[in-house]
Amino acid sequence: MANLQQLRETLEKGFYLDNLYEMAHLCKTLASDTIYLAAFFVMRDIFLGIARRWEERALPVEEAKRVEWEMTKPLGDLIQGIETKVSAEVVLDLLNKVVSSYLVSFE
Amino acid sequence: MGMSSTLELKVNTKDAERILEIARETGALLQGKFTLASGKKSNHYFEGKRLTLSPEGAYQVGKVIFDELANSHADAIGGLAIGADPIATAVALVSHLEGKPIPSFIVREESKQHGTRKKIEGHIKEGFRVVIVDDVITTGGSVNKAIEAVEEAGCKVVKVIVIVDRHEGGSEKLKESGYDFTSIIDLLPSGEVTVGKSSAVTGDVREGILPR
Repeated sequence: MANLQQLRETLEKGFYLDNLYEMAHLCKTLASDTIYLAAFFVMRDIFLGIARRWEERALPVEEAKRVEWEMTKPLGDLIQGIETKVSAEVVLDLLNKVVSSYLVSFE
Repeated sequence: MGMSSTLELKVNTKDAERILEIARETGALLQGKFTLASGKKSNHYFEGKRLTLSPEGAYQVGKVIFDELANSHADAIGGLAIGADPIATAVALVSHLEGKPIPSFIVREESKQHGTRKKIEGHIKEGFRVVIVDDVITTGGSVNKAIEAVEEAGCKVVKVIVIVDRHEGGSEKLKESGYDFTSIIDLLPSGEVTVGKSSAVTGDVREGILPR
């Protein structure tokens, strides 16, 4: 899946506004192109959620790095799980970890 | 036809310094280590609207830019929505108070998908000498979109003025292309903040847009 590879590469570039919107866009495409609709829908919502929190305000480097550190690994694991076609149960577990990291980062 | 030249101008330093003070007072300009939307790191964060939507900020910005345009014979002033909107409006208002009205216009980020499909709203028509404004220039994307739109409409860009120049390539490209460019505040790569200093056209100066 070309878009999945693109999503992984975009994730590796880091967490900043333009990139978050790009990842949200890729997730939207992937949600309609693959069977993992819920996973990509949730990821898209998370990227947009972070982008909206960071839009139109000063974003200290430390804050961006902290969120990036919290989120990159679980997101990478989820993308890899989808790439390697793990079971739906494992995808759900990986997705839970992504959501948990998001909540830890912002709640 | 153009001619090779380098011209240096200065905006009113005292007024520019006041704009810098207001930018700091309103939180429009912050110092620290910030991640920008592009992912680049910067020692400064600038949010123009905090400055241009404050009462004194709007007035001072309008006044400094109006003074800068004294002999430009500009027919209209505007730029890309929404950063340029309060600036162009402030200049139009000051120009009225000063008895030398300069109407303003807005360049839409994207053309309307319905209705009149106008890309530019406001007081502009073919053959006008126009001034393009913006709150900040980084790589020049917004300013270039506005320039393209007004040139497409048959207007001549006589000046480009921004409040903050981040010196990340945008202003340099404009100057190289022959546009008369002025910034009020300069955020230099060294981290230094200067005011009322940078205003120059280098290289081939386009005929008809020579500053005063």
